[in-house]
Amino acid sequence: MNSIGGLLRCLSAFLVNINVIIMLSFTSTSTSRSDRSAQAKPPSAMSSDSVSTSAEFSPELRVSTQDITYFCPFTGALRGTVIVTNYRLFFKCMDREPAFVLDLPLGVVSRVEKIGSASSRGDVSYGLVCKDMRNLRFAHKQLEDTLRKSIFEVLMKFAFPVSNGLQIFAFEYGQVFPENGWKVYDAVSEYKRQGIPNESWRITKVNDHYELCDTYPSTLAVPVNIPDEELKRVAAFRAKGRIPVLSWIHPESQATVTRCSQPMVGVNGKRSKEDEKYLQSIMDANAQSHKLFIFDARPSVNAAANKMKGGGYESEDAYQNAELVFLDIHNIHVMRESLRKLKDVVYPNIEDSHWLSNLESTHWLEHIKLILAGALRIADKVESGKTSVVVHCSDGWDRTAQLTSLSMLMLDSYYRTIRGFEVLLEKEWLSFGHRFQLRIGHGDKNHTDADRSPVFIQFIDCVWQLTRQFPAAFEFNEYFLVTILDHLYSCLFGTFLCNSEQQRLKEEIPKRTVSLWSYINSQLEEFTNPLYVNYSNHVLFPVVSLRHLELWVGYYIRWNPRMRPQEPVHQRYKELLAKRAELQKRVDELQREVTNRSASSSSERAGSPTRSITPVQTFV
Amino acid sequence: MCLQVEQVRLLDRFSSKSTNGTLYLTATHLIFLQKETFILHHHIASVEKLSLTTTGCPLVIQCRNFRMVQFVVQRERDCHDIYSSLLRLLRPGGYEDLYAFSYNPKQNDQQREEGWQLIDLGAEFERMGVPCDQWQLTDVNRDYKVCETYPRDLYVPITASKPIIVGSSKFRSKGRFPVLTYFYQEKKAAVCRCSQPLSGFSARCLEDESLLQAISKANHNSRFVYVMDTRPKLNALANRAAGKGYENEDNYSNIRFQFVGIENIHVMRASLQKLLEVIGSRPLSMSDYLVGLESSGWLRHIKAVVDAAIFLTKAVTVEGVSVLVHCSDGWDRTAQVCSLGSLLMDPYYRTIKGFMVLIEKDWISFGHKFADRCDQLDGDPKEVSPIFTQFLECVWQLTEQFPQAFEFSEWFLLQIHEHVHSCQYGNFLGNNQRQREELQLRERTHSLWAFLMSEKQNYLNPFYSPAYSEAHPVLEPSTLPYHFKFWRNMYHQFDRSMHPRQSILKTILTLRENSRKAESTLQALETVKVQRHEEDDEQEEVGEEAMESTDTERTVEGSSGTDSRKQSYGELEGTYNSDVAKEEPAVVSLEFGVARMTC
Repeated sequence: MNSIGGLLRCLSAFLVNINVIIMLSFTSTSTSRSDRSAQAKPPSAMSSDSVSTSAEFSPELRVSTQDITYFCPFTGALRGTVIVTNYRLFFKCMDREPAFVLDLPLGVVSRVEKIGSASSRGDVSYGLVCKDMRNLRFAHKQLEDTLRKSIFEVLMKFAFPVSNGLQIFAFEYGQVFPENGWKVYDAVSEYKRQGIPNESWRITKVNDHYELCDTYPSTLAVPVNIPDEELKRVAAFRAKGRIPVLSWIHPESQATVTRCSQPMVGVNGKRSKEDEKYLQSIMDANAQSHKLFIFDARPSVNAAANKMKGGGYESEDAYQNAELVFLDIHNIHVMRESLRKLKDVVYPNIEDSHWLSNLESTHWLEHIKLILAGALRIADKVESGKTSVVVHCSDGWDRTAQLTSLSMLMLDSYYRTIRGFEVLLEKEWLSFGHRFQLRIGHGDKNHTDADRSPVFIQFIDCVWQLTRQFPAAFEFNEYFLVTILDHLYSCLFGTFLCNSEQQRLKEEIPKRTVSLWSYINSQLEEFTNPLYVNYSNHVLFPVVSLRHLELWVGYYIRWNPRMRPQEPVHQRYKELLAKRAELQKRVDELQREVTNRSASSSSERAGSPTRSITPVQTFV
Repeated sequence: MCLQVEQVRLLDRFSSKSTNGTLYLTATHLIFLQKETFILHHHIASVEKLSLTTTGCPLVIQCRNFRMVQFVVQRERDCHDIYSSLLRLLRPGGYEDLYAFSYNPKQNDQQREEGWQLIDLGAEFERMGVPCDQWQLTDVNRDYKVCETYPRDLYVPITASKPIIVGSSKFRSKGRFPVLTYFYQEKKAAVCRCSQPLSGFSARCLEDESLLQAISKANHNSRFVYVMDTRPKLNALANRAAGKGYENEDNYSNIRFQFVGIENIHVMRASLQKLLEVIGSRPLSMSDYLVGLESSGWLRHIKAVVDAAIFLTKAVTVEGVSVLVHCSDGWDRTAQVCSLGSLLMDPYYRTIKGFMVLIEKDWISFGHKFADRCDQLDGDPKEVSPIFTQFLECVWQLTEQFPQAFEFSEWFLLQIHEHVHSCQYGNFLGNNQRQREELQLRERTHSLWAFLMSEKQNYLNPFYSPAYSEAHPVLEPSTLPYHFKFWRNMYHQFDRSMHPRQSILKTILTLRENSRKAESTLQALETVKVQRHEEDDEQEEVGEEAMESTDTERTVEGSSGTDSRKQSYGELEGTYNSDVAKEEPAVVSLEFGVARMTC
């Protein structure tokens, strides 16, 4: 109980701290005032109410209550106060009971647009298009022109720090948590957990300085019989030098999941002896099977089209024992368009009569289905077929990451724990160079950038679909997944910054920012699924039938107040967890007592029966 | 009579798998052994013999509980035998041939009598606070003289005299005059039901007007009553030409008239048919599924019923106004809206017993034509319609929105649906109370409610919280379109490959079971502790029943993808005991953790 109290205290401290940050005023003169100085004040001195009343805040820096109107698409126009800081936009309307509060980390803003023109009389308004499935509109009377400008400019400035040569807020955020999330993942110990190195696989340091491949991590697991020199020649044949490396190995059959980018086959059908030998040795590393499956995530048409650009796919002639399978998953542009359509359908209002056909027209669920189906085929080949697989798409950092991480989630129960899931993300997504900076566009005002895409959101959606089908198999709850997505955009934590391990190292992210896992691991009870039962070595094969796939309403439509759950389950989850902990404690105590007593007497008797008691599992 | 055919193949609906076995036809069941498939003849909606193929003669059987089976019989002659005997068996000559009259669960007469006494509608009205100073029991229909499709006991306003009632009944279709069905004590507002008035284009009836006046007067909170016509306006207008129609606001003082727009039984029947076609097609793309689901209109109709119930609930609980609900004859849409509305208003109806009472009151006693709608006697196909199924589905949609508010789980609804069509119990036989009395159902058949009550354990919803009901007596459901979901476990209850890998309900029940075991372990340990204190030597049988240790064997859950690739849908063993579940839902006997099955 003590530790929970402690965690709660630190949580409230965390909230207060954020409020302190809000205090920062939005005029350019005051931004030079460092956040850290504000944080240096004892957090306990601030109450959450101080947001609007703090004396630290000079009155002229605030837009007075009547000035700002927020057009809520659900409840209508609201008048109130707006405060913009270098982290968030905070709107409060006191007219309502309870007071209406909008608290928006500026990281989620994708675009700020002025709607009112200078010539028009009356209200001037601007809209915020957000990355998390909502749009906001504000307006205020055109009083002193300077004021309006300043809000707009401040928004433009702090919402897009990268475009303005400023620092992303994560570098300013100095909260200290009891847990250190940067320690969650260590490549060597994760490989060790999987049993690597072994007689067929070794860990190479050839990429220690990111010379082999600058988008790969420094630690790689490769077949034992391929020397580092040869790896370089393989790298020359793979797009961006992303050679096939081990992601996961089956603890029994030694079948492996390996990932890479497309081979540089080109129109002329170039071949590489080294690459062919390399794939052969991946196959040989698994004695159970004389076959290797290559899963190309792309539709075959796209894969063929890539030949024009020097890429392509493995020909079965060149790779003797390999079978190539296309998984028909579309590229980042198709996915971006699909999510954009989905946003149109669900925000702000839902058209009642054509809900299902509108949903269908977005194709979002179809994409989810294809990804899950692909991951299921991979998992099945490895588990049931005892065959090693190679997974790639074009560059091997989008669809490949989705497929390998989802299949690993199905194959290995470790990744279904909270820590395991964090390790999975750190490994398959972050260290293997999913380009978060480009895909999300942190702090970048170029909202039309073609590199943006919801690949990671799609992955989390797939995980959610899995948790729906296996409610007892995951240690984390829905709130955990939503929190990850929220902080994917918020720029409060350093976890999802940059595009690769190399960049993160260069920017000293672990040193200069806080990890999202620090925050999450310091209050695990918020994110724990009370239904979780830990079956070790338990493989999940989901049904990918469309009758089982659902739109993740709890994420995509959460801004709609009509969708709010009728019954808050979250609180109930926590009660259940507490009850379970209490029961477990009682069981443990009793057991200890029993064992102690038996230990004192077992010296006289051999094979005391009490030994069998130890593994009691408690469920609530 | 018993027909036996060997070497019959049962095809899986969604894969190319099949099972060989022997098919038996008994007087009441079609039995397929090897797979333990029992199909009650009453459940069979249609039998179709397809043209001969190289492997044999296919026979497709479609059931009312949404089971679809396809047999392939090797010899055509055998197939024809089965086909023609089935056709004969499916056509009961009369009520006497129904299974309920031969079904004997080994009970003596007293037990059976007690079963029938389980639900007492008089007591139910008393619970609502009726009779009271404004509402009284009338004996006008004691002998079914005024309205033969109504029950004997009816509740009317105290100021409504017999001549008024009789006069009104003459002005209402099938004599179904306005009577009380639910009384909301807190605001003294009443929910009344009736059939459409025979108003035509201009006809009036003073008695009917004064009966409505009396209903209005009985509620001091409000100066008017709502009259809810649950039909679309167009339909009501069309009825006018046939000398029926709806109330004219000018003739009735103090009414507010409202159309709700629920479609008629024919539209509903066609809609369900379309839905079943969509979900039954094997290669189904995400687009076909979503578009098909929408164009079937089924979920839209469900929403229309819920919308109407919400309107009713708001009028009664928020405004405190009495409401009179009718449709054409007042036994289909009216029953749906009144019962669903009461369910939203009154937490009692959300308990197991209360739900039985609700069905008994609004559906059975007020004469929903179960015999016709469920086609018990192979009657007019135009009379068949899934009105009651729709009501159960509305309730299910609500249970999804309010997991804590209902004492019963989905399995309870599925079981009721099963037996509405099974004709195994007397409750749903016939079209109205009068007919049931003539058939002497209470003497000659058994009551479903008693059976369900005896295995109440199986139907409990583990999330149910009476405290929640106390805090939220009136439910306010959301009607956003995504809250209306396809009820997979109803329409695919017999398709194993469609079952969830881990049913949440089952998981919760497993956990509960385990926690009970943990508690008993705890207790065992505690007793041991005490014993130890007493005498240090007695150390036997401690922890024998402690949980098995987690083994490190690798286990697989769900169909292996190998299957799913070859056949698009795999087989799921033991996670959802559907086939057996119909006879005796194997709810409590749960395998440990669902998981340990295939390797």
